[in-house]
Amino acid sequence: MLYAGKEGGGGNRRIGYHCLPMDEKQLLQAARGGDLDAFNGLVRMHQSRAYSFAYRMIGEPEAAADAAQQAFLSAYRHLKEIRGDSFRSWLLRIVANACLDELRRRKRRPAVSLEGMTGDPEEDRDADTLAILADPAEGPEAAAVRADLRRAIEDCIAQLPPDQRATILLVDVHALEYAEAARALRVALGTVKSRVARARGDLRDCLNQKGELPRLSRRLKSEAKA
Amino acid sequence: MIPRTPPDPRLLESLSAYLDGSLEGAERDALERRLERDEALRRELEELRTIRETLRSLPELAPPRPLTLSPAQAGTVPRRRAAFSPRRLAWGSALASLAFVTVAFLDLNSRGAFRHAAATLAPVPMALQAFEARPPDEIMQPEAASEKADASGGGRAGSEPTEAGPGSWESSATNGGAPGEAQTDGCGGGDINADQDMERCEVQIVAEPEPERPSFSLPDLPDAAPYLEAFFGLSAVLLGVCAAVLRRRR
Repeated sequence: MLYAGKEGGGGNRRIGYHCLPMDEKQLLQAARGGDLDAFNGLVRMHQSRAYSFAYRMIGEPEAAADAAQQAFLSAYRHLKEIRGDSFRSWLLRIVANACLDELRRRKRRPAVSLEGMTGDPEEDRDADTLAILADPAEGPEAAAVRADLRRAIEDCIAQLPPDQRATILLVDVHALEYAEAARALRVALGTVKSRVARARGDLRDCLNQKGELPRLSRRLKSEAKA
Repeated sequence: MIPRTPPDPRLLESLSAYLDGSLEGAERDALERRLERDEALRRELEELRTIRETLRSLPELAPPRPLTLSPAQAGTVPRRRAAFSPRRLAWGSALASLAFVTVAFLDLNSRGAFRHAAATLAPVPMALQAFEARPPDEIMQPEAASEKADASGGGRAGSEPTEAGPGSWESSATNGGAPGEAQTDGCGGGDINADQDMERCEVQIVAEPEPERPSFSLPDLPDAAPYLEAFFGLSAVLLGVCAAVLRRRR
């Protein structure tokens, strides 16, 4: 957690991070004034979100981290251009475009599936992340089922076309409104709606093909009852 | 490869929009009526709901390294520029080439290589050239000249110019005459004696001073010019090669 306070007295009004907690709005205001420490506070708040989006778009941990950091750098340089949108949706817009640019640079090479990541220690770190984020109250068998389901979902997401993938990640995973997603991807509202529908349909078909959809459905129902 | 979704993408879009609460009006009512009586459609809606809820429950992933920006990355610390960047070397090469060409030109000029060409190419007015080519007799009025020739038996062709010299036969500009036009004050009648005429009439043919022509004189170079040429030429080549090598390495 960052702490902010005024350092020194008299004319020295530089904001430091020692005394008071700063919320996102204060950090943003300080960062707009060129305070890199304040901006790095925003980075710490949002880096998992930006990296998750980039990783699910690109499929490679290092490339995703590079794209996310590049997006943060771009955000830092254009902080004064935020108008109306929240920092979260504005950042996701930059990350989405950075990832789409990266994928275009790779000539639309298919993303790496999470299913084949068990051999590589660097990529296994993400599988570990999935395990860490699992509910600690559930037993080992339930945790394994959950991990299998997530891998199946991630694999199906990775098979979507990049435009659909970016749209479904923004709308369903990161809960942006249709209008926000349309602004982020610079497309019409109707395009977002149809991309979301096609992506959901494709994911349903993919999970059905893997036999995971009924398990998912049962799990969601049991969670709802609990 | 994911198999394509059912052949009715419009229905899928309506179901997806209904799920998100963005279907309104008559379209929403029509879909709800259809859902009441169509079990397969209800099942499809449930599957889409499952997909959406699953996606929403996906966890955030921790990045493999902190994504915070260092002052150097953010550009708040001025980056030290390389002293010998390819761009600087290329500029140096271009300047050395320019200096070489300038010195070489001046050197050739000081050796007289351009003098003949400059003299040939110097601009001379066409009218002046034509006038210079005419003999003095023709400069006077043709009738007066012929009368004088008759009267003197062809021995005199008119008064001698005070300042002789080919190419300088011009009437005085102070009389207002055009160049090449002899001024004959009140004379020129056909039956007047030519000698009297010559006494009375003062033909003023004054040589006009030659107009000043622009002269371009370049400074002569000292004897060290060949060394300067060699220095600048070699510098241009070496700097150019270094720039190309550095650019290729980067």
